[in-house]
Amino acid sequence: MIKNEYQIQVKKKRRRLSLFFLGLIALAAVAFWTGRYPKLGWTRLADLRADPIAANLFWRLRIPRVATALMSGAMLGAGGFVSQNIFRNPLASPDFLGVSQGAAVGAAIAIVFFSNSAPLRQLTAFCGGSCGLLLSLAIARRIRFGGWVMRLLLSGATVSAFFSGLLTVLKIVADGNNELHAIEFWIMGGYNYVTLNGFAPVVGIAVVSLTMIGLFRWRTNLFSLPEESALSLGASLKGERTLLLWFSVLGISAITSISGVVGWVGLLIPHLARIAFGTDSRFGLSGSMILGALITLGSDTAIRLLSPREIPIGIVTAFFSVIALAVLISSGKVRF
Amino acid sequence: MTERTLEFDRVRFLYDNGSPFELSGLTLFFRPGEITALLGPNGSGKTTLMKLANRRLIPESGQIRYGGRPFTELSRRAISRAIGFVPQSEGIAFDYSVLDYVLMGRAPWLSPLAAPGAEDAAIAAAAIAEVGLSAMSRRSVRKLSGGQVQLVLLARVLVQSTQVLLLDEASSALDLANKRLFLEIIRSLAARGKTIILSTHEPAVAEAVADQIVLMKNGTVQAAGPSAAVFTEANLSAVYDTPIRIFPIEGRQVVLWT
Repeated sequence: MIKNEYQIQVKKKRRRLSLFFLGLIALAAVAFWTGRYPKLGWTRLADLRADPIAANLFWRLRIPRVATALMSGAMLGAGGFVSQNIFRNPLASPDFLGVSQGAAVGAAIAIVFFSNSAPLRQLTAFCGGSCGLLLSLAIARRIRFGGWVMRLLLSGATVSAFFSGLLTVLKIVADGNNELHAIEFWIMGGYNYVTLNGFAPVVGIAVVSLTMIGLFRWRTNLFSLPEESALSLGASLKGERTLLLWFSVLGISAITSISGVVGWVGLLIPHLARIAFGTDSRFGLSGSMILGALITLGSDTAIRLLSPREIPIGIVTAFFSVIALAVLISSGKVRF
Repeated sequence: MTERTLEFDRVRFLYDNGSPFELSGLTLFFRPGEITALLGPNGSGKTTLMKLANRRLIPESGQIRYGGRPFTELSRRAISRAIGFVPQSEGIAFDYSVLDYVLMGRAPWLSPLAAPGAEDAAIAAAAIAEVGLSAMSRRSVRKLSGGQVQLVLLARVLVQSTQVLLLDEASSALDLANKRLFLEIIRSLAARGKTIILSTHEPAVAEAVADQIVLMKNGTVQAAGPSAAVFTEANLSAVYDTPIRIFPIEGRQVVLWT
């Protein structure tokens, strides 16, 4: 009986999701309670009480950093899944809409012209990301051929190229000692600049975005259908689709504004989630959030514990993602 | 007049991209339990008519009504519960299983934040069995043949359980046995009171199944009425601009063209 089989499948997928979620909680616990100070390894409660520096590090640096790493992966996973479905394109990610490049330009402006003030950098990065999206949408509306998806991808590529050019100009203008380094680091992404300042609103925005996207997790399926079919099944392209897209962009720009561009996670994780939890977005989308968080938090914790100096996490996730993607494509697990 | 489920009242439509195509003076009605076949050459307006009936396109003037109420008064959700649409083919971006794909047809009946449950799965399973794909319910839709995908799309509209079914060349890729299965399903739907509108490039299919035939050309209706009256050599030859002969063989009409 297909019906019973379906119920069994649903149960199986739920169990797998719960298992991964427990794994994430365990990882988060490890991340919170390990560090390099006062010595490499577990942080003991006694240290926090006795050593004010340890307590300060724990409350003011580690907690914001771990929370941001966690939300960042979840948000990138969710945003990637949603945009792949909405654009009906397995290669789509928010990077395709000029969001990442726009945010990078915004951050670079703060770094070069406003002496890299953290709250200002977040604001300009967020504005830059939104600008990228608005510009992409505006240009897409003016293109008179092709479907909405193709128009948006085309205009997104144009806007991204424009922002990449601007970024190069900013890098030339930048002071070679500190500013250039700060821009480069921001483009490669990392959670090591995250502090208690300004981290709460960002994580708050991410939580709201994830909740909104999560509520529509089954209906996200409908947007992977051609527009005509989605419409005839009652999906609202103007309402629901716009809402999903905006919350993806909102959450990702918020996170990106403090972490820099953590590349490739938004592209790869949704594919891994589809393999592990199924294409049905009801499980795939939730799985994508959990897997994304596992990857970013896992990488960041590994960097913290294994390397005495900071390695930009974007490099780690890019290496991991590119290799994984190559394996998945050549083994036929991901098809475009 | 309540028995007219779907009505086109002097509908006129133009594409806003400068295309010279115009659909005009469309006055048609589609009754419950009746199968209507749209016939006509490429570009005659069959698909445009389907899109209007699915509210994918909005008429320039005139009115489309469902159950006596103008489309403009009905919500997208209400229409999705009343009118189902099957395209000729569908680009499928991801590896959905047949069952997951068919389950999407339940969307109009689920609240926006809900996912399908056991009842929906039972409905989907029955529809998949009806189109003969039970053995493939866990297979990826992207690994199916064009004809099997058409059967999946048919199953999806079955679970949508709408009063009106719009089938846009939905049997074009089916083999002979599956074409017969398709026609049997259509007939049984009509027998249960559904309103069926199908477009096809195969006059023989139209003749075999339709109660009413609408012949279209250049965006206008050339002839409409009971199959027997409309399905003539003269009508078909005029619409397709090519000499067409019809031979009755064993109670069926065989269409030949030269």
